[in-house]
Amino acid sequence: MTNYLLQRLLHGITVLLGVSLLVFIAVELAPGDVVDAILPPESFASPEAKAQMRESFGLNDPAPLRYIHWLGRTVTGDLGYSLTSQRPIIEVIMNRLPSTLQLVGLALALSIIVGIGAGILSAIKHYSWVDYLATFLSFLWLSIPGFFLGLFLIYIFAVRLHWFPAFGASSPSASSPVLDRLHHLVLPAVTLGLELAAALTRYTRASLLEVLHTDYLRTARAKGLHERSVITRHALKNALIPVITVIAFRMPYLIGGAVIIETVFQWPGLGLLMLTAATQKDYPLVMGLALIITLAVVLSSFLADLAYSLIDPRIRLQ
Amino acid sequence: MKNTQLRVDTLFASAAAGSLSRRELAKRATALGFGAPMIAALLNASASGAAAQSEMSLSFDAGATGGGGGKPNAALINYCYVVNGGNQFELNRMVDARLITLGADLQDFVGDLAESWDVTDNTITFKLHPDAKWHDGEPVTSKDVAFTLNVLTDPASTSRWGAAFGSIVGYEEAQTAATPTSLSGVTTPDDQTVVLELSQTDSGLLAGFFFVNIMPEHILGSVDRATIAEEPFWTEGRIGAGPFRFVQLVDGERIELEAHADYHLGAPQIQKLNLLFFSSVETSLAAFQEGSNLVAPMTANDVELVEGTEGAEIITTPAGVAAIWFNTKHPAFEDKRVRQAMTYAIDKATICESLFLGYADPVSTEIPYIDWAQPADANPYTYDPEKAMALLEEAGWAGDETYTLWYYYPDQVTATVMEAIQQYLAAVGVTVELRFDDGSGVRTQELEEGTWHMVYGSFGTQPAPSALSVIWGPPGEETFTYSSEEFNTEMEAALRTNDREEQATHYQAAVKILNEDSPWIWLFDRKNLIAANSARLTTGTTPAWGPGHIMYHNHAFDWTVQE
Repeated sequence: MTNYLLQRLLHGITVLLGVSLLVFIAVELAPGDVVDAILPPESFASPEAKAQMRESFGLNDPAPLRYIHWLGRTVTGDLGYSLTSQRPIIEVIMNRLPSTLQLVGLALALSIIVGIGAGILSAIKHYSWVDYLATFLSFLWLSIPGFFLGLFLIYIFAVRLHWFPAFGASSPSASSPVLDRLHHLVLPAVTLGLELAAALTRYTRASLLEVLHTDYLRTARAKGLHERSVITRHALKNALIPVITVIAFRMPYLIGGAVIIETVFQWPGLGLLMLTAATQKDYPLVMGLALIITLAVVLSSFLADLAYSLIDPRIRLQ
Repeated sequence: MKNTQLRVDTLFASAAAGSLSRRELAKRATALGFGAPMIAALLNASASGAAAQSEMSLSFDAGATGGGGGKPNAALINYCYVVNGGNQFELNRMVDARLITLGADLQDFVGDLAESWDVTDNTITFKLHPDAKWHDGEPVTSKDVAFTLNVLTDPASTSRWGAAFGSIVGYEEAQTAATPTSLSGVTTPDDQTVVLELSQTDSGLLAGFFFVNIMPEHILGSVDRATIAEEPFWTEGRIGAGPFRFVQLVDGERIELEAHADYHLGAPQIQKLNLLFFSSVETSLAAFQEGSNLVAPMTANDVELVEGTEGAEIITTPAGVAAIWFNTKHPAFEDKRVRQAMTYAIDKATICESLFLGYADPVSTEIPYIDWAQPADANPYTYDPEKAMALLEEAGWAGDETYTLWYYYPDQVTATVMEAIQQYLAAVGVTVELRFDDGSGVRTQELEEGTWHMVYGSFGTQPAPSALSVIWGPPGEETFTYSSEEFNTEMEAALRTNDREEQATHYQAAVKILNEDSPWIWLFDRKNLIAANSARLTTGTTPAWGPGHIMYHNHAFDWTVQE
């Protein structure tokens, strides 16, 4: 186990280094820089103002030197300062991280409950109306673009019914901040979670159907076990392995790629922050965010491996 | 089943004792009505704790050009107006105060911190409002005005606004001084009086104050001017003298403001005001329909939606003239006949009617809304493709190359207008490739390298004709490539007189020169559209909405909001 953990750690560090270098190169190759974003031509800023800003941001240093400086600071835990806001990047990211975790957490929980639940029902009652309905709905949610679904939910539940807020993560002067946050979370989490739920429904159904007709389940039934026990204690564990893989692969998207959902709902998460940082060529912030997202990928992959070993005792981590 | 009385305490006791299955627990909890109150509590969770009529929200920069309001560049939030003037004008209008500004209708100067002012050929004297106070309770005095002028004219601050005060005695010396300077021509005989001594008559100098927020000397006086724009003051503990005080920036969501009870023109009636950020115009309008956002930017495509919203009113404000700028140093566009030909080639009237849906007027000059500066004999360049082709032939136009036409307004109306322009130009033999500037930096790079061809954009609504020199005079020559001795002579003559009739003669001549030379194709005097919930928001008798990028006086202290 120790060897395995060391290997994963080394692997993770290599991935982080590689991603940071690739992201830095990509930002460097893009035309323009952060000063052009802050002071576009229509701002009529003087050339002196731009030059002074470039100097204070250290943009006149050669690119390799800037990367090495960044790397040197990062290994000590200092991600530097955002060029556009002049705030520590750790602070900028930590401000947004809770919102992202809340959104991702609720979306994931919803998608697992709904997706796996619907997949199980669909498999158990395959070729029945329940199965057809679940199949239809899952293909529907997979086909509808996220921004359209989001706007649709806003129109129905916020504009027409006034059940939920149309945007944001909080209301000014809310009487109960916790409930207020939850209230704001519902629509974006449902929008984000439905697509994953649809995918999980399909995978769970297919995977469970494969397992349902195996010999060991026939033996379990022959022993007189209740069908619910057969499914939950015997079939589901084996059927969940590919489902866990799907969830693990989707995690990075949920954490860093939900920019469309965050844009539609004005949800102040990391996705929107990444889009803004990339547009403005705020390269320290882009790299800090890339690190966080890569870390999430590495961690989710590791957690998935752990989950495999827990579910299937044949799998040993070594 | 035992006949157990169904109560909350027995339910919890049974659950704790483990005598209830999970299913039974859920059934009994639902029967006890836990579901309904929880859902009701959730649905009402966002109810405000404050009295609804004392708080309102509006889209940040609701009046911004081209329906792009509410999407502030995050960088511009954090950089104060000293270096840049961008999408933070809504904040400036609410939190900061100017000496003088314009009314929202752009017609007359309006005093803010200045109670009165007197202009002679050599001096301008301001009398400050005696009751003006900063948000921290300190009085606003003449020292603050002097400090502000000294910072803006100090080269170390690289402020874009400093050049407007070039006629104040001491300005030239300040440009070459090694240490932070004070303009010798700015004197403060008492706390309420500021006297500017001028090295020459400058009728455009007053307009320079429209964009200048007075800064607190007692807070920023000792700050390094080279890094003043990077001070945390601008996002934390920001102090102004405007009707609302800055409370906090909720990252990614809004700026919260509260009433400045000691505002010198009257305490605001609205106690809390929120400026909301939106990355999507659709969400901003959805929030408007929902009722949580009382003022939102919109475009002509949203008219039907807004008109269908209860209590909504569509307000139009000048957005500035949309025009195509030429790189007049590029061989293809050096000849003014080519530029004039392209002006004749575009059917402005039809585009205004069919694409802007009447929310724009065809024009052929800059600042058409400043009537007294308009020449009576300006060429209207009425649509005439035959004339366009004749001029192109005369100029030896080959028509065998494709030229890039950049645009940066993100709304769908602009995209459609650009396609129409492309077709009109193609009909006379000018092939253009449309490119949208999404902030990637390519256009900026081309502008810096001088390799750009054309850009569709706007100078914005300008408060005074003296601003024309910024683009078409020496300050704008490097970026916008146009240079004309005749134009510069007329502008200089206009600035050296305080006589309005004399100014008019010279400004009209300057505008005519631009109209004739066509360094830009002036196309549409556009209107910004704003959706306002006038059933709930009352803004008083004074116009409250003007061009988004001018810090006009919005009288926000007069606004009231009803539930």
